[in-house]
Amino acid sequence: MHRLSRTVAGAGLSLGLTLLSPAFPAGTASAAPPTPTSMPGMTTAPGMTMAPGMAMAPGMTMAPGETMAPGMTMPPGMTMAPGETVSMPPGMSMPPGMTMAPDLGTASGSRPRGLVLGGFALVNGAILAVAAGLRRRPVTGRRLAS
Amino acid sequence: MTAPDVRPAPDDPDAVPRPVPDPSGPDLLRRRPVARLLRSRWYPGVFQVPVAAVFGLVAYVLLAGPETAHHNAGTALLWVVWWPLLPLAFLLAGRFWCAVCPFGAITDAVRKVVGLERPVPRFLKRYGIWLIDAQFLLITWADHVWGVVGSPWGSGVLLLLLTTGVVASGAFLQRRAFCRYLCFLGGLCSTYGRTGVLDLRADRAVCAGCTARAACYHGTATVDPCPLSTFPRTMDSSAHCSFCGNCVKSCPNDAIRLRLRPPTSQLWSVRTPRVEESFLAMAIMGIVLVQNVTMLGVWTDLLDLMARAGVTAPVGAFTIAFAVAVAVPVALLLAASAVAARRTVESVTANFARFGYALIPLDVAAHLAHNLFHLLSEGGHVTGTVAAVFGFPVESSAALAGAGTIRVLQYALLAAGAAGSVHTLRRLAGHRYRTAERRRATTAPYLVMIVLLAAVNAYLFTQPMTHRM
Repeated sequence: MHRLSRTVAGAGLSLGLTLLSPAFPAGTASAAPPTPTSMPGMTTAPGMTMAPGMAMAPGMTMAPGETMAPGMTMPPGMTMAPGETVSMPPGMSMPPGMTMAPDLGTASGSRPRGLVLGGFALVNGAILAVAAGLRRRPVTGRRLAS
Repeated sequence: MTAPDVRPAPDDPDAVPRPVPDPSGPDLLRRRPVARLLRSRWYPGVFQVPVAAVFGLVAYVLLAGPETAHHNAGTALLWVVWWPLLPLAFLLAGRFWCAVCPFGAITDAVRKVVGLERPVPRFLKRYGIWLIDAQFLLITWADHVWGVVGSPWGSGVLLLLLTTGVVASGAFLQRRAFCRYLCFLGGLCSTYGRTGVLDLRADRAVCAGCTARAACYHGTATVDPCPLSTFPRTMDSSAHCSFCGNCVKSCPNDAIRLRLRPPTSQLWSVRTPRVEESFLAMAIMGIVLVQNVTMLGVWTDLLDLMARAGVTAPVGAFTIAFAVAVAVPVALLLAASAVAARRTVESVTANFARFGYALIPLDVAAHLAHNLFHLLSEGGHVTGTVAAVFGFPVESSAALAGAGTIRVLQYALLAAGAAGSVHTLRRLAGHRYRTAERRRATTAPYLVMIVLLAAVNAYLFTQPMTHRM
């Protein structure tokens, strides 16, 4: 069991260090800056701003005054917070003036995937290593007395 | 934290609450299939394995799959199917989700491999529920500010953070300490689970002669102890029971009873009402309100209003709206408790703690009704996105039901929740006070509050709402 715990902890630490290493090629989700993505059949309304990395559902139409999915309308000037996606069902529309912020992590053109996964593996590996180390510690006279 | 009482005169008929009768009704464990299932060594593992497999798929797709929620099967499975259906599971089976939750399985695995089995710190036992309250608020806030529900990556990071907490807890602490004292979902489960129809208790009469040294709590050589550190003999609800079956397997006296009870009945006679649990119920109501408001057109008007007042940053505006939305139900409950305290024998705090439980059925209903919209108007995405993960492009329609049908179901749920809250309120007042005047004086302000919150929710459901995917 101790060997297994050491192996698990060691694997976590190694994976974390590998993922965090600058040499790790997949440190970011996309190396090149993203370009706005638009799908066939999409039309945009005047005044609308599309942020980098934004993707829209195929067939999405954005014309002023159009109705959206089940009884929905969006008022002009609406702003979507970072992290909100712009994927909406076909037939949905957005009025002029609407601005959409980029999806979380795509603004800089990269998602710190390697950093996050590496940090996750490193932290969890460290937790397991500490616990495994403490578990292996022999019972001393003082601890027995207490 | 239990609430202090304003002590009435000893001869006052309402000096002490009425004694809580033990639940009655047929014991499901007398039915052979149920008993065999709960006593089986494969239970609850037989449910844990498929849930863990789906969880693994969800986590993988969230972190490595399509970057837009609209195309991500993880988002569809997590936020459009699982999250809306979860409160329904609470109604039917209380906290059973915790028995099959992958985080619980991870805790058990870590404990077996490296677990130090240290006792749970006292502060965690005492203040854990406040940490859950804070966590719930923080996650909802973070969802709006950084994107969690609408961002597959954000959802994936949330799962990683929770996993780290689970690993740390399993490595150092006893049993499923994270699930019991730190998991925000566990907090939701214990709050909503009280409305459930399944009720597990020990038969006190049998327990009185027990010589097994609480095997139901400590476990035996072959059966694990209660993962949520609950002693069946002292339970007054199934809020901290996941129906994992360990106590059923380990009790040598066959003292465990599993009963079907009317929905919400576990709220009617809470022995030790706790302020933090009532606060959580109110905070969840506020969260449901703010979730609704930010998906409506009126949200833009509010943002404009705040911009004119000088709050131009979206984060600042949302933080203010969020704080107000959470504070409103808490303040309403406080005000109702203050009014009730004037003509009764309990303090404002004691009233807050006890009668906050009456709002839980409305809470569950509002939560369900809100999520029903997402389930029925976006649930069709699941087929297409999951099929795409396995390389099968499938065209599917997003909506499973029309807007009219969804709205009718939302109102029906809300009406049932309001009725459940009113009934719970009456039972709670009836349990606490023998005198009719005090029962009326207590009931009236909370009744106004229930009607008000139900009306606000009903209004919000008339408004058009945005989708998650």
